[in-house]
Amino acid sequence: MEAENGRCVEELELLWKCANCWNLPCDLARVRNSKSSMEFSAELGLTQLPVTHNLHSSDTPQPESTVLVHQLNPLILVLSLTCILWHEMVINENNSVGQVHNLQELRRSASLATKVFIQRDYSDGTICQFQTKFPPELDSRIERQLFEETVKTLNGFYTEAEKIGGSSYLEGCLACATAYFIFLCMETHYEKVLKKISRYIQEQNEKIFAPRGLLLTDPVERGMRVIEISIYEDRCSSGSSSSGSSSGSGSSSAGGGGAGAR
Amino acid sequence: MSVMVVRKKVTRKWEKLPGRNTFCCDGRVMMARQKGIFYLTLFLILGTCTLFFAFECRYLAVQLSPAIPVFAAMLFLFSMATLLRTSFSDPGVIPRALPDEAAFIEMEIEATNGAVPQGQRPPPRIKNFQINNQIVKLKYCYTCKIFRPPRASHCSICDNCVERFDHHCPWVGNCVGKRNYRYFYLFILSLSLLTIYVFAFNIVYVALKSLKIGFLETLKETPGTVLEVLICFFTLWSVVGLTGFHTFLVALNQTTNEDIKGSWTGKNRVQNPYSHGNIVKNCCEVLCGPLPPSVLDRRGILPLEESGSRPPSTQETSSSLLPQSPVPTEQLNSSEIPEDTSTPEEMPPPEPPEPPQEAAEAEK
Repeated sequence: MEAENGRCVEELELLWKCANCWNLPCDLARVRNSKSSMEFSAELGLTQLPVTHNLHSSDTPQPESTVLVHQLNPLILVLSLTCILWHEMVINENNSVGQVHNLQELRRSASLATKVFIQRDYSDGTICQFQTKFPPELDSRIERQLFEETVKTLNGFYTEAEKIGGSSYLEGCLACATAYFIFLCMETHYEKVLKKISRYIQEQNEKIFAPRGLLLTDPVERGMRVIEISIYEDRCSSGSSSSGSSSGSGSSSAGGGGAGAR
Repeated sequence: MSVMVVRKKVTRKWEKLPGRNTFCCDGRVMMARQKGIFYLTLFLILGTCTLFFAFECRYLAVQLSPAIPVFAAMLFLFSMATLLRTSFSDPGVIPRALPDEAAFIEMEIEATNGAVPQGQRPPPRIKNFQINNQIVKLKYCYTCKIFRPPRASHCSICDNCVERFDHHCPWVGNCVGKRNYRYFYLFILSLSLLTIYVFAFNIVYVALKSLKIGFLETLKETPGTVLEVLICFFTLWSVVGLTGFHTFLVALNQTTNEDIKGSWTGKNRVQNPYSHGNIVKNCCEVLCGPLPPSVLDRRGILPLEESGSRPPSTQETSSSLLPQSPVPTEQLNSSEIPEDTSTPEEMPPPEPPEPPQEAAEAEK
């Protein structure tokens, strides 16, 4: 019985290291009613679950459950493998810490050469628009047409956000009538469009910019003053780091996607 | 065997923001440093309305109509809500340029103006833009290291550039700018109505009661009435006047700043390019237009290694990793830490403790 438990632990450990999920919260360690895996996870400090609590709770139903565990060992292993694969493939975008670890490595492999700033275009007034003038630094990196298309789409989004029309008036009047308490539960139209913009920028980074060693930063993170384009020099692969998505733009996964070596 | 869950103090971005602002409630509330006059405003409104509800309303609700205190309560709540919204929200502060951006702009300026010889004062940095067929100059802000958007101005009291800067109002304890102008306008409007309402019903009360027990007796019975009438009288002249002035500005889509400077008036000046030419359209845009969210991100979490560094190094913040730091065991907790006001006192940040101290003072 002890030997089997020990084997279970070793197999789990091997699975763990192979999947390079050593810094993930260990789902493997949450195998129910398995004292050994609890100890294992507690040793590695991988789970914040009150381990003592679990140990105690697993103490009481022990006699029946340990027998069951040994019968289910292979099944548990298969399930664990599936969990790992699922984490890696499906939950990738939400898997921040794993991503962070991978991005750190990518970041080390690429170095930031320079940054280009696309300024605001005030010819239409104070609404948020960016200049579509192609910066010379990007001449060798990206096609003019792609760049202009990106900036024009962004400008379109901002125009939509700041559109003065029936719906914005309605929103404003409704908010006024509720003494603006409605904003505690509802998102404004502008915020919704900003989320769309973050998703678009993330997508553009993944598909177009990262393969060319560039990274677009969401203007919201720069106070809507500029679009910052970071130009990276490849060392081994063209990777790009995340830009601390404080506004939750989640552009971190963009770096993970950009692995096209030049 | 148990795992100790260590809750590390999380540094939020508001603690490292430059500028002379006070932040409360862990970054949710943003005000100027001098709050004394704001407390006076609160005291006057609350005090007057409390006296009104306690004395006059009881008599008038019985004698005339119970709708009187109800309507007064609605006006009072609305003006308090708009006052707090004006005072506590971000007026539209433009974050300062990060070092990379500032250097890029400097390079551009030097390219256009040419290098300035040592010892000579650099020429004022101005960019010209054409808006709606009129030339508008953009000024460079030396403090924030940005070219200010049109209609933005640098507030010397708060030491921030504010979009569509109207004025710094000590009565609300905050700047009035793009994001909180409509709240400010609704506040002064509702306060005017409330003042007129309270004043009028005080007069009615005194008149009604004097018919029964005489004028002096009435004043002796409710001495608060005298106080209320005095406060309302002086408030009326100032607040109603201010409301009228701002209504005029809203109708023309101008800011107080532009009006004082005379940007759009005078013979040789350009016409206001932001006005739609139609009063209704201007009002709708200013009061009901889309509201941009704050770009300051006060409650964003700074990565752990940044907790000891100054604001200009926020460039590293932005280019570094997600707030979930490389320390895996803590990340599950650090990002989920509830807004625990006791934590700042446990582990104060090593760098300028001014903002947290101010916050602590303000909370008292």
